[in-house]
Amino acid sequence: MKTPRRGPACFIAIAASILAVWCAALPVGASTIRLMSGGRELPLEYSPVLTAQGFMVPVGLASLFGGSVDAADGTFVVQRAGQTAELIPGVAVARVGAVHRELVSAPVEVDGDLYVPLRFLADFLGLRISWDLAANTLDLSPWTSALGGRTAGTRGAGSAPAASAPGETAESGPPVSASLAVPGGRGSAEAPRLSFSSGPVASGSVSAAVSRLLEQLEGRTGVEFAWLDLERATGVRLTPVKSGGVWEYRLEGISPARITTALLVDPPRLIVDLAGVPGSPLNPFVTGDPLAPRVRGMEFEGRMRLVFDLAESVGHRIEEDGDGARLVLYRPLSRLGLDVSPTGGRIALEVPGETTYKISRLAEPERLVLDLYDTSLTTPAAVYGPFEGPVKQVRVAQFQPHITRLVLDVAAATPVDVEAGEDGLALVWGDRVESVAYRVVSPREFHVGVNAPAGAQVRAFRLTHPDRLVMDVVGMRLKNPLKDEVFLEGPVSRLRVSQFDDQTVRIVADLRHHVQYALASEQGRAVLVMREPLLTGRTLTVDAGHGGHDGGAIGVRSGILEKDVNLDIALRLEALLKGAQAVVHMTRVDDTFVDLWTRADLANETRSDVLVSIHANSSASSSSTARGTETYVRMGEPESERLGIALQGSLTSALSTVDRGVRPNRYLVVRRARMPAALVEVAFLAHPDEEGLLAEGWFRQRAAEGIYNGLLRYFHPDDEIKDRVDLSGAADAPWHTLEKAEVSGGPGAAP
Amino acid sequence: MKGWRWATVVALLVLLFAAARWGDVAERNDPYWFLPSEPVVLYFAAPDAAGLVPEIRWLPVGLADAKGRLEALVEGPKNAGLFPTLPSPLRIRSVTVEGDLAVVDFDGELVRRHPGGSAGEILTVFSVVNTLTEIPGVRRVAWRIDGRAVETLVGHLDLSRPVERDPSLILSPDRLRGGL
Repeated sequence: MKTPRRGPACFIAIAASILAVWCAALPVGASTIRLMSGGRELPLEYSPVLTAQGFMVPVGLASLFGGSVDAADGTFVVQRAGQTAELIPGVAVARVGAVHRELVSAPVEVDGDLYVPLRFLADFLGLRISWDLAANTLDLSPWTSALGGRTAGTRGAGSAPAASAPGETAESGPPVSASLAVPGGRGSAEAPRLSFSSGPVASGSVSAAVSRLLEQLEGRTGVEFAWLDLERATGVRLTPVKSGGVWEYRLEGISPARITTALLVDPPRLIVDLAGVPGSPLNPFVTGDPLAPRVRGMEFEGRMRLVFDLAESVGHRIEEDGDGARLVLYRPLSRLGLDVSPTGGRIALEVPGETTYKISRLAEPERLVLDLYDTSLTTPAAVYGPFEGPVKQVRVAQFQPHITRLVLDVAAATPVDVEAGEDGLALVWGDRVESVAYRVVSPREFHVGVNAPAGAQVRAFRLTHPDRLVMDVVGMRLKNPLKDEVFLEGPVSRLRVSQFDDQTVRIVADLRHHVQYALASEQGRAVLVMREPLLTGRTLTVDAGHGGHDGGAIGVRSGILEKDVNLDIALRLEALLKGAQAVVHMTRVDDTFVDLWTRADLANETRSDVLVSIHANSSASSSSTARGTETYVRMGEPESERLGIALQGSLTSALSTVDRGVRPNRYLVVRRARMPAALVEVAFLAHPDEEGLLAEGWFRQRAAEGIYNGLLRYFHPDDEIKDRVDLSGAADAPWHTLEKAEVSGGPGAAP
Repeated sequence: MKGWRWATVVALLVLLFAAARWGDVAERNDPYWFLPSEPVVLYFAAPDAAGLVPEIRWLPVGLADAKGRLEALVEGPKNAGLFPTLPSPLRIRSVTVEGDLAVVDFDGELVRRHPGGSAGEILTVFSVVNTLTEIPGVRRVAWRIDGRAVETLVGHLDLSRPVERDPSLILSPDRLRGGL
């Protein structure tokens, strides 16, 4: 019995799953929601489309409710009961009569039909939207017969529910005392705050209309749309004004005495009751103020109530402003960014806009007080610390309703600066490096200068792999991140500065050539002097391995010959050595064969101080994992070993190759030479990666520089300059300051 | 009937002997298991050309002389982690031992087919020298190519004089296990 039942069951299951997948693939827009009115279904062509901003419906829907729609010059005009609404595709503002109303999303033109937000159209047509979840329908039905248009005259005093915020009841805050009587408010303002007309717009040129509208919007900096609905209904004009980076709300047509306020929480919102002003339900008004993004209006106990929805619970005050009033919301202080070290520190105060502050010092105990006016602390009062260093403790609290107070328990002599930035204020103290400068004194001499106070401790040392000189300024902080500076010539290839740890500013000079260094000072500036030493009076023999019929090793992939690589490196080395005033003898300067005895004899006959033989390595091609740099010297001879260590160290520093070490010599050239001699194997031609590098000119230049640096280190083993450093000769060279880096974040974020 | 029984016993004994030898053969890599043989030490290249690694090979007693060892060296390593140091095949023209000096004479192919480079030259020369100086009494190796004395193999080492054993190039086989 089971088998015959299973077949249909399977079929149904498969069919159902296919159906489910097919349904899921349907676009969101093709909703199955039907529009109803008075129990009858409306034609399918008016079906709503669901978007992220809510339902959109064809504007033609108006014709079903006694309205008419005309389109001209890219503007759609909806008319009903003497009211007109002008809509432009792509513009999220509708003009209703003389009033501009913001739309949740811009109308979209599809096949000559304009889709507009359902909420707007329903409001305009005086329809109530009710949502029947079970039946999946939206029902549209007129509110009352009186609600044809939204004029003050047709509105009963508080009888109609707030169309703008369905389901929302009156605020359940504490009762707000009413006072005084009817406003003497001004009449309806006729001139719209923003005017645009479809007149000059070319036919069909919607984008031109949009750009014209945007232009006009941009021209109105600072002042956004007035909430004209309120003005029309009550004679009170509300204008949000952006000043000093924050928003204020100007209320014209009402004196401060008639305004009562109350702050409610969960969610935070500010109730502003306008005594003597008849209540009127209004569309929510989007302000653009991140602190109070939305203002709602409603009738409460016969008077007008405004509700400011707040992003944070902040204080406020009402002050007089000409013949009207002004609502000032205090800016929130939500975050205290502390970065404190024994030598200095920084407290970042994130307060939007320009903050008025007062800084004062109090004694016994010594403390510094920062008062931030019109600022609300949105977190509980707190104490930070104790810290090591001049600032022992930091306290923050709401001192008065409009003043947030920061108290620093600080040592008497410590100056504390206030830095005002876009994100707020920062309190900064301690020693700081403000700028780092350099100067090129000569092609072989380079100076780095730091303005350091007397207390700063400066030290310099060398790092290798790659070769660097480091200048540490201890007990200092970097004021700003600084840009790296790159040098195409000279001993220094790059200069960079960073906050190494919380009390050390580190300046690093990446070295192209070996230098000796010394620390000096010049007019309150700590100077790191770097000097590329000379080889005056030295004689060297440079041997490019192989040559002529002896090609040496062969590149494993490209087939480049070792003899060519060796010669190129040797010639580059010759130029560097001659630049250092050395006497250089070359065993070959072209592609000729020279036997091993002759090569060594050249060095012996010229009484060279050093012989360097340059090679590129290879081994059995099947063991192509072999890679790296080797140096061969006669072991047991201290000078030869010192030469080998200097060459191997500098070569691997310059090339970043694997260090295969200084190895005991077995080679004829080195053995026959009567002076310290070394054979360097720069890299492996048998290794595919290193072969590729050896084929590159820059790599061969670095190899030559590596050997050159090794020779400089061999002849000048002292790290530091031994002679007294005299800076008077360098006075002509101008100092250049490193530029500030455009890095977001504080100095602690320096690279 | 009696003959059959004896034959069975003999066959069993032979099988037993073979089985016993097979264990040895498998263990010591001895292709000449049916002959009396002795172990010799050969030197091959480490994978990163860092030095020479010894490999033990069993050769029949009569073949464990200088020539036999060189032929095994040309044949290449059995250990998959090692690399040959000589091209294969390669004709060994002669090897003679006089006192503490061994004289090797390779075909000119050795130079022509050599990859070059000092690391390669060192490994070639010293795999031969270190292998031959394993023979008791031999301390130095003189080099001939095509019957003639040479100054160098591929341009770095001095082969005009006999070359002595260089133990500093020898690496422990343990290094191979680390995946060198």
